Amino acid sequence: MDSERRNRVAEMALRAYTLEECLAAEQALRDWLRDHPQDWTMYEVARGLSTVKEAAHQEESSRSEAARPAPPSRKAAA
Amino acid sequence: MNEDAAQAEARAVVGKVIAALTPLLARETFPDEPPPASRWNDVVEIEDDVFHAGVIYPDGRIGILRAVWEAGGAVRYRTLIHEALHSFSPHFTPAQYQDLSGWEEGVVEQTQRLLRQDALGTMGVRVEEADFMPHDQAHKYVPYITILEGLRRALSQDTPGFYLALLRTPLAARFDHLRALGEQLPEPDQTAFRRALLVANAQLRRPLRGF
Repeated sequence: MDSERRNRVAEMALRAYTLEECLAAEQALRDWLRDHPQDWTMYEVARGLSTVKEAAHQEESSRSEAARPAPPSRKAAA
Repeated sequence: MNEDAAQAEARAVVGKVIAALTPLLARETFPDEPPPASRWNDVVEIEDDVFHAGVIYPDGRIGILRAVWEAGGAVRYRTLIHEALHSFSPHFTPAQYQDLSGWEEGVVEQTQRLLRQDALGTMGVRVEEADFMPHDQAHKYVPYITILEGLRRALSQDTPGFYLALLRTPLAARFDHLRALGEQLPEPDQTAFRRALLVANAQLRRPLRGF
């Protein structure tokens, strides 16, 4: 087993915080697990990543909401 | 075994795991308190299109990867006990987990290791400890356990009581729980522990944005 690659993938997954980092780590993990489908402990690393990705998703959505321009008031529209 | 039968069996097994863990989580350390309650909502899903071993969803469902379920033995039971233990952890949000994942995963994984043989014994399931060892050693949460063990030894706390108390404490309050225990130490141990806790906290948290 390529332990250097394994460590790198696990490190990516354990350190991922932003949505972009989560998606990159997820892809790296998927690639690893495709090549090593019996590496059970890496599936457990993936568990935490799923939860972090959900949080990052929520934060990204709320940031997009906040950045969206407010609808014009009736007075301004008139 | 058809799909419905497999789901029913998985649900029955998780029910047994939760029932076996409940008295273990309460024993000795908290004799006067009611046993902790699980957030599991009685639903288990055997999942195909995921790549995590197991998960507990915010609504209390427990999901397990089909390959993990079908592997049986150490792979199945370490995952089910781990996820079942998450269900006893007071509710936390994904955002809290995002910041404090080591405080949750380290505590749950070490508790899984400490209680699994007692839990399996109650369930009438036999998995040799030697079968768990390769998974334990290769596990990526080992650094979290090493950090927590350092704090436990500095506080002269016993196992599993140290971990059971952390598991009952809300995720966001676990740092403060240990800080309060550290304040009971005599000097100079108290100052040394305070420093060790700050370092540990930085290692158990995910790197914060902007740093």
